[in-house]
Amino acid sequence: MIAYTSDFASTFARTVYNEEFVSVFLRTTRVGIVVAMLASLLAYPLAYYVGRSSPFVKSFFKTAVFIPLMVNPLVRSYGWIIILGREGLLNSMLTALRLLEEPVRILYTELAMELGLLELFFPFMFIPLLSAMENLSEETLMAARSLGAGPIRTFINIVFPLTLKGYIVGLSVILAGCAAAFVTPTLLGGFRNRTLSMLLYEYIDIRLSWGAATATALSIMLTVFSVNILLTYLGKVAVKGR
Amino acid sequence: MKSFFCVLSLLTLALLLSPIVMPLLISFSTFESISFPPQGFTLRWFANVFNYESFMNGFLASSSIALVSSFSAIALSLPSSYVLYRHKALKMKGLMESLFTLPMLMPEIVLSYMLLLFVCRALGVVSLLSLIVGHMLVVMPFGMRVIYASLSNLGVDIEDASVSLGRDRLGAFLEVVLPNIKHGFVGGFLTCFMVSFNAVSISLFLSYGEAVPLPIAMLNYLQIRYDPTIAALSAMLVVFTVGLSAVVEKTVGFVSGVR
Repeated sequence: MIAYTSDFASTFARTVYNEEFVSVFLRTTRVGIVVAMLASLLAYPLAYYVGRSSPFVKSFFKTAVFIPLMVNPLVRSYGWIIILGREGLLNSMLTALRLLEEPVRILYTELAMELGLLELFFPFMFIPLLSAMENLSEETLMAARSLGAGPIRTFINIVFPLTLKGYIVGLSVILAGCAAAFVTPTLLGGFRNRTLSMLLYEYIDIRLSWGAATATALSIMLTVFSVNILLTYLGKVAVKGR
Repeated sequence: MKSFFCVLSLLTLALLLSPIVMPLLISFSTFESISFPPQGFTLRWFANVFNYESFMNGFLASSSIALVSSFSAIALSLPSSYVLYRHKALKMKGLMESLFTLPMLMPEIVLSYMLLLFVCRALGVVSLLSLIVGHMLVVMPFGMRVIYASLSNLGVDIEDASVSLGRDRLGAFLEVVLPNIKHGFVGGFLTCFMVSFNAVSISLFLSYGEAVPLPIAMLNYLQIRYDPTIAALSAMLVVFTVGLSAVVEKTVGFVSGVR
């Protein structure tokens, strides 16, 4: 029954090659990618702005971004329940403004899960990006501007390559974190939108299937490590390529 | 352009901070369930928290587990950081440095499951001890990082100077090195404490009948109902943890404490 017997390979194959597991795995990957994209979209402007502002503004933003890290993920997810629930802040605001006829379902969807995970892991994207931005000298940007590059061109050719290392660090923390997060997807995604770690818990708590649980744990670990190795490799290639 | 970035940054900040502010807003409301806008003013939900035994026991359990596990994590990090810091020419130093912080990359849920499988099930150990050891394993890389960073910042010269002036090794360590890294101790300890206090999956997998840490008590409560009692508790936890983090900020600064 316990999984470290010799037939683990067949248990692993049986657990992984079925429709349920594949759909859960794909959902986990999809959520991770969406969260990583959203975090990049928000973190780049924020880090760019904070990186070149006055020390006072800088320390204000730094503290504000770090505060959530100290608060229990459970509390933060509960905060999202208050915002996204049927009677929550968002729904009551939208109905009061007559933008909605009746409350819509946001909680217990993939979107809610993505918002929660975005808020959970955003600082880990912001911290390395900010330190990369702080190392970016103003002269480089001015040189690009005086040579005629617009903001978009400057970003693609100057800012992005010079902050790529920090970006990749943030990306790997977010992707690995989303693959392994448990509380946030449980509270915000609900049973229908299970992720890998919820499936792992379900195998132990409800289905009492230790072999399948071990196979799931192994696949979480393989996912996390391969994402990390792949991104580290990509980072090295990109840095060398310049 | 500048003001556009400013507005965007403030919006991002609002997105990040709103889930933390929400419990504070709702916890004084007289409504039985979550609803907006919050109305009236009552301290009933706060009283509820104090009257609900699981929360009180959970708080005690969580803080004692966090205290013991952080203390042992720091006690174990000190000798290993000291070796890494003293011996510049240590073989495979880089490898050892990364081995000590690598467990941070290990998903907490996988670590919890492995402990459950190999310690609790295979060895039959289900006790407070396994819960504490689990927490210690989760927090140790954080403690190690802070202690090692403060030792490296100190440098070996000051210790060598006191030895060359006639102090023996142990005396130099106790009277020169330790007092100089006391901020690292406080910061590392508080970081570990907070990580352990906030850890959910390790407690979920390893907790048993008598010792139910606070996050698990909250999860259990949330499965029954969503009334503002949880909001009141969350509000108190926000104040508690943000207060603690202010202490960390004062002692070591956030960046070294977090990553």
